[in-house]
Amino acid sequence: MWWEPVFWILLIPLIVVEIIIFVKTKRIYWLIYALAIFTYVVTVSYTLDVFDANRNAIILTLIASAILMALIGRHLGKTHKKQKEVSRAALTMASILAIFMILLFAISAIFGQAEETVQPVDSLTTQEITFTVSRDEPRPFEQVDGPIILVRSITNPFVLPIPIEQKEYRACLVTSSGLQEVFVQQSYERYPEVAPGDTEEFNVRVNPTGLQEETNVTELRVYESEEYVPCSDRGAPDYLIPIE
Amino acid sequence: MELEQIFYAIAGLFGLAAIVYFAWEYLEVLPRITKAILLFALAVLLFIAAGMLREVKR
Repeated sequence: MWWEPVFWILLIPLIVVEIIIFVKTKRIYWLIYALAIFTYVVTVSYTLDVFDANRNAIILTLIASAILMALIGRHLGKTHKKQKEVSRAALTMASILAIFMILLFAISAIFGQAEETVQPVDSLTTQEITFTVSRDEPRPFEQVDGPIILVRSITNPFVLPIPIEQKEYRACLVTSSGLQEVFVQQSYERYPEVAPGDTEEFNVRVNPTGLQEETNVTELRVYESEEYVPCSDRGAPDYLIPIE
Repeated sequence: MELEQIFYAIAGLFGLAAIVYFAWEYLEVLPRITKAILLFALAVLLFIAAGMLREVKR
């Protein structure tokens, strides 16, 4: 996400420039123009970054921005005769824009809620979730696509896309030798969103865990939790998956 | 620089911090397209506001 460093890198010079402009000119509108330019640059950076714009889109955006700024400069250089009418039109447009922004934010925040269901699998097999290790030959950890333990189905009933909240899960395996922490895998796209009227499914998997020979496993306890807590200190699980 | 201007500047910094924090906490739930539209609308609004202030000064 390169738009965030751009934001912070430009923010400090903006504050310095604003202070210098105000001390030298005492004109508030110069400060607002500087802030408007900064906001526009952040808008362009954000849009190009989060939508993964290709190089043609970037070039076109930069050219369009150059033309736009030149036109604004030309407009500001002219003296308008009908100042009252221009001010009235500007005030109307500003009011409409402000109302539009507030409504868009309120409607999105209030009504843009996704419907989510989380369905655990009916059961798992011992072979899916464990592998045998010996004390003499320990097996190094390797990232593999383990079995699916939960399926998150997210439906978007709204007219705009809805970002997906990434949840953290912890899993503990109940074995004959005690509780064992199991590594939970989740993979999401860079900016996971559900399109309007669409349903997306996200799989939550676990990494198979190594156990000594003749260790029995009975069930997998899954917790929806961001915080790390040892398995022995956890309470009732959110989901319980039997192991056959 | 007069003393009151220092306080105005600090008030501006606090206001900016409030806006940044609000955006960070409350706008996170919005999709990318909504954030892009709001940002662009804000840039336009600021340009219009600056133009109106400039007219008042004339």
